[in-house]
Amino acid sequence: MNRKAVLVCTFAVLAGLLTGCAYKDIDKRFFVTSIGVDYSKNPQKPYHVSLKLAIPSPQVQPGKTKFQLITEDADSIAEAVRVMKSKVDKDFDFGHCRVLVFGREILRKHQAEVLNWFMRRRDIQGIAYMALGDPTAEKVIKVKAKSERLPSNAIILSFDETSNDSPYIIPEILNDFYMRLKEEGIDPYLPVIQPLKDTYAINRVVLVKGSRLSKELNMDETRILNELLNTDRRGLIDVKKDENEFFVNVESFKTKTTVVIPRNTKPYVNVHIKIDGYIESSEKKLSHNYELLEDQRLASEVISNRVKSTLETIQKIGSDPLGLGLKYQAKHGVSEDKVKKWNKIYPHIQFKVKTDLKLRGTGIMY
Amino acid sequence: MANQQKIVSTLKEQLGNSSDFKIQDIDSFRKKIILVYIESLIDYKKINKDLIEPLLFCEKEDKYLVHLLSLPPCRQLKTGDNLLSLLIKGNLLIITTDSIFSYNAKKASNNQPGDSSVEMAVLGPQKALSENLSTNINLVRNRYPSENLIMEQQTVGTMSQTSIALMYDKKLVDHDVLRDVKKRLPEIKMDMIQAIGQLENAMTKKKHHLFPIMMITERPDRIALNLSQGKVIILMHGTPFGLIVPAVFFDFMASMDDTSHTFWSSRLMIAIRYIGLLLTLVLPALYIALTSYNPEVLRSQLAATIAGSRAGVPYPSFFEVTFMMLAVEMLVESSMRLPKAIGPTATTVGGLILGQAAQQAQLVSSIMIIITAFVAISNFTIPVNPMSFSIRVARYPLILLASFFGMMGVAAGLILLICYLTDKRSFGTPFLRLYWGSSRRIEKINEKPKGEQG
Amino acid sequence: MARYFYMIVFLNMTVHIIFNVPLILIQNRFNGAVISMALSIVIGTILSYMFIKAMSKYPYNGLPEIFMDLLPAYIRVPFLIFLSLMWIAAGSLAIGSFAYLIKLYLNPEMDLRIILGFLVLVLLYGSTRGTQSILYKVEITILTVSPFIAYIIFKALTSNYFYPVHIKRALQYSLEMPNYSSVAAASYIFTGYINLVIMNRNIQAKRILKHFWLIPVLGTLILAFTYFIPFGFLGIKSIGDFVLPWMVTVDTIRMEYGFIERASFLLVMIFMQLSILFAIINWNVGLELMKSALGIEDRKTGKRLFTLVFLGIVGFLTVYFQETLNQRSYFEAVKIWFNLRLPVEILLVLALSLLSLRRKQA
Repeated sequence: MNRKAVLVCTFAVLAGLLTGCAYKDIDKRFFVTSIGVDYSKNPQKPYHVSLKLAIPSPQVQPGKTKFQLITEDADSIAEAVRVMKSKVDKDFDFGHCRVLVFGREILRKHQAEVLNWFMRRRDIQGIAYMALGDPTAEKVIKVKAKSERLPSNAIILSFDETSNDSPYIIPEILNDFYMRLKEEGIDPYLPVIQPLKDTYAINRVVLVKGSRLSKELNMDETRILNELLNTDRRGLIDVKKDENEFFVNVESFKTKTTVVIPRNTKPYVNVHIKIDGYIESSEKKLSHNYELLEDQRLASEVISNRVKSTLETIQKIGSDPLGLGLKYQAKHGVSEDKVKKWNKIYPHIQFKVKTDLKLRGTGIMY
Repeated sequence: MANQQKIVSTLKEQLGNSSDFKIQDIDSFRKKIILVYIESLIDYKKINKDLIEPLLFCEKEDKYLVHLLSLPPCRQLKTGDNLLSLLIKGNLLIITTDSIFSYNAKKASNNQPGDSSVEMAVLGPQKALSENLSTNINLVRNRYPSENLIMEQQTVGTMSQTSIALMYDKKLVDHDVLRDVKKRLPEIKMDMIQAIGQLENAMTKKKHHLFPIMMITERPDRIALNLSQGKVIILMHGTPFGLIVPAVFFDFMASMDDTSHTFWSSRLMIAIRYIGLLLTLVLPALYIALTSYNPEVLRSQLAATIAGSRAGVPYPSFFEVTFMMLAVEMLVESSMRLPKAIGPTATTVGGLILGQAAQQAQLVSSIMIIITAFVAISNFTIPVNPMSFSIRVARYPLILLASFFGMMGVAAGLILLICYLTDKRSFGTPFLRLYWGSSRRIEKINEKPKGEQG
Repeated sequence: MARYFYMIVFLNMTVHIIFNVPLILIQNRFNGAVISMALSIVIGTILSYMFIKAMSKYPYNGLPEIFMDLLPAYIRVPFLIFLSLMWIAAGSLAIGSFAYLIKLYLNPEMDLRIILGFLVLVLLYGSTRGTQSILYKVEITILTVSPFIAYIIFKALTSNYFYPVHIKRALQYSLEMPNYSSVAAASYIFTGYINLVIMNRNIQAKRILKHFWLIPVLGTLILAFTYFIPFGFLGIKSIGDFVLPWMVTVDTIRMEYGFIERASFLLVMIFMQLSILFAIINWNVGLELMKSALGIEDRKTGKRLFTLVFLGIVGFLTVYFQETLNQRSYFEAVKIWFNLRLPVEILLVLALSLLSLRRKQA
């Protein structure tokens, strides 16, 4: 029996010696909460990497977040991170890095390399949110939001559907971005974050054409794109025609998009929108049902027109965030000449938008 | 005549001059009758009523002898009987000229069942077993009035000669188990056996075992229930506990209250118990693994809180855990045997003041205090005491594995634990296996394959 | 009891993700993976039916006992040893692949040798338990793990980042010629039944046949899920960029209300339970086969020593084998094993069926 005990002890000690190196307490790690990558204007060291490091404190209070921002220029992100390690007292832990912000220039010039580093690291979460920093990523990361309990938490919360369902925010995660970039027939997009004094503004989205950054959509177009992407974010639709102005609070918004390639006529995209909603505010009193139905018809028309013009804007930019190409491929084949054929069709394709709006009621008042 | 004297003198010699050894000569029927007994073991009232009074009323010796033999606890001895051991077991010897009778007049001690204090039930029966074997057998018989209930009496312990009773339902019992028990009982070589736990340990073959394979209970209702499940019960004289054989893992997680609650509330209680079991087992290990190896598993907010509260702690997390676990174990251990008057003081000082102070002095993180309390509380949800002790012990290998291998160690530790438990057999019955299509009776293992006890 | 059998089959079906079967299929996604899968469902079902049918003729007999009466020693012993090594190799390869996963996702700073060494020690304890005990453990593990598997699949299918259109696109490549290595890999999913060579001592094969329909149904479902779900998240092009497509897929899932947010850790824990269990079963079967081949009787003094020495050597070789190879060549080795496994399995099933037919006539 004694021999067994000795054996167990030896194993334990041996195991302890061998594995001691992997043991690192949570307070000996620096949590990187967001990474920003900009172009540094120096072609030798193009990557301007900034890391936001959380400094944990025993008391967690809103607005009392402490963080440290360190930046470095290097010829690769990996190199930058390595150099930055010498600037701090603890090891970086990227496990809680949920926000990746990029500058416009770096994505124009080195998108593939940047993305490769993030995808390859196992500790960068696939569900990390990606965004474009306007004017630069560093400025976005620098912001200390008033309501934050944790560094970068404000951005995470705004992207999180369970805490913020603003229709102007279109979140994009790393894995999805990568898939959209690689796949032909669907293009990625990035939400644009603008730093304000104590908070951020996220209300636009930048589209990507092929693999290059392209134009931004304005707020309204962003909202409509969001609705077309079938996310669970809902908003308000304002309708104005002549004297009659009212707002529709959207309860559910569903779109069905199909690509139709008829034999003889021109190909078109069928967009069928189904909306359920209530009147939230209205200039005039809606005392009769026919007035409500009239509003309903009016709103459908307005929405259809808006969606159509947004789709045409996107088409003009040449990007395809809705994945219409994928739908075409699913029906007609994935081969290369099919893809080429689609690329020829897409710039001239027509959009037929049909909206089924159902106004469920007028709220508390008539 | 000479014979009578000779026996008495031998006995006197053997017992020495123990002052409670009494010899009483009675002259009647013109003959001498000698009563020999040990005073402290004998119930006087019983002797008076059964032996002395009839003696005065009887006119003839023959008639008296008939009376004697008609008494149930009285019998005529043969030449080979060991008088001394009979005396010690509380018999009174009646030595007449021609023959010797023994009369069991043992004073019953502690034969009142007390309130159950170890396994409490809110709505179940409130009385526990007593310390008297015959009372206990009586209790069990009352609760299990079946003609199939068999009781066999034996003694264990070479010196203590403790009498035990083996009880089982002959129709339902698993005969392999019964055979095994009957084989193991005579193999026990121990001088003094006074507690049922000793018997349990003596009957378990393996020296180093962690989980109990027999269940100790003080509840007659649990005993009756287990009899109906085909188990074997061992009752021992002098302890208010019975031993149930075999016992499987799930028995230790069952409380007698489960049967008296409504369906959903009992389900909730059972669920809480299993959650408690899991928490008390893995929480400290999980803390080490998550703070020192895999903080990325946690939510960011939680990770930040832990990191913040750990920021001032100078020691690595496993010291923290070991320290707090030690404190809690000491608290439990000390309050267990403290007199009831001091108990609350100890818990207050230990639990509240120590915990608070340790956290304020930044020796441990506040999260660790929560975990410690959680672990202690959830440990108490396990309804059967020996199991809760075993789980307490099983926690430590997990802590060790967690501090060497992180999450992988915790998961591997749980795998090893389940391997250990499923490989365990309680008298041939698998200790941990899931039963399906629950029958109220123990499942007979029909598909027992060759060479392997299933 | 038959349920243990189905649990082992289910275990084998889920564990193939660790073996990177989806990767082999995904590499062949443009070269007839879909047809290969369909083919392997047919092959797997037929093989398992034949095998179970044949085994049910010998109630409570393992393969060694069956061979004992029917084959001469000079065929029986080498064949059993060969089979035993195949089983042991399966366990070792699984645990080796899993060690890579641990190294990548759970303990990146720990030495791979230590990770694998530790896992091998766990296996040493687990696989030397009795077969019946292992069956109990199988049941417990499968029951605790399957709700989580169901949860992950549910989460995946309802995710915003799951694009069914990719699956439709992948199906465009259905009508390609199947290739051998895809068939060999995909048919692996059904191979759980083969553990009956030893488990037949504890499980009544006759009862299994009652619910035999479960095998093709479960197999088809799981194969479809494991092959197609990654496409839905990663598309048909970028999916080729990943070593462990399933881990990346699950990393796209966020559990908004879960105790932990990243689903990938949940998956790693599930894999840990399953792959260790799988390796335990395989080593146990391999060990039992080896013991019967060499005629080492149960409960004799030599038994413990032999198992420890034998499995110790196996464990050492497992670590050594992984030490000498890098990840790429390791997965190549797995592929070779897959390609070897299918003919061996077919041979075994055919041999046994023929033997059982002879028994019927006699």
